[in-house]
Amino acid sequence: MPSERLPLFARRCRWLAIFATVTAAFPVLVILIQWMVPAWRAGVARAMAGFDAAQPITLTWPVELACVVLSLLYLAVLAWGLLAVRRLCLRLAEGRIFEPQTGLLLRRFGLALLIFACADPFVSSLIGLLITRYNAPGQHHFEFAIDDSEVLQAFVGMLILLIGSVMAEAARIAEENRQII
Amino acid sequence: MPITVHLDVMLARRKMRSKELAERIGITEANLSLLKSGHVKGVRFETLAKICQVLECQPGELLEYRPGDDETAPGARS
Repeated sequence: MPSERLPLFARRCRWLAIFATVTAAFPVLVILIQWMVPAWRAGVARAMAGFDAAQPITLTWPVELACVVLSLLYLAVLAWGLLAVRRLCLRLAEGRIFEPQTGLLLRRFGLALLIFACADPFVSSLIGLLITRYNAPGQHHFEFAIDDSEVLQAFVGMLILLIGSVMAEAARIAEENRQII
Repeated sequence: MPITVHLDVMLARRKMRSKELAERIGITEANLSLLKSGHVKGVRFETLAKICQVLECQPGELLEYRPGDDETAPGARS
């Protein structure tokens, strides 16, 4: 990269690191706040299960707790990947571009995205089952759906995983070549 | 590593300092130090040619193969 572009590149990497941190933390905070407000809980539960307002649900405190834990675990995967992006961007901002760790952090994000995309339909179905578990007979609801955004997300995750693996190997070879005087 | 580098011997014979050699062949003093100690994965022919040109020697005077700790010579009997 031309040296005159490095400061601009570093600045952009630092901003992206901040954005990744906020994106990792924000959904977790939103979910927690939404579940803490009693009036919002039914709406959050329906949204997470993909139900409309007409679908009857029954929320008890164990069901609410299970939904919170499930949604936080699910978001933790994405947060893990985004924190890897943060570390990656900070390393890039320091000029540590072509190193094996760069590829490994990219791999981590790709893996997180892949897991997040694959888990989405299961998490929605499970939450749907939980919130209709105590409904009257005949009103239990189970739905399993995969939409194209999840497929695309999984594909992008796999692609980033592959690119990260290639970069890590390339950086390893470059490091070896650096030891050839 | 079965390859031993005798660069320090040749530098002493030619009464030349590492710093001067590094400057003349265009590598850093740190890399030259690594080369002298044998802590490198390899040497480019271009670098070897420049060293031989400056020190007026042959590659064989700089490098020696000793089948020692890491491997035995091909065909050697145990």
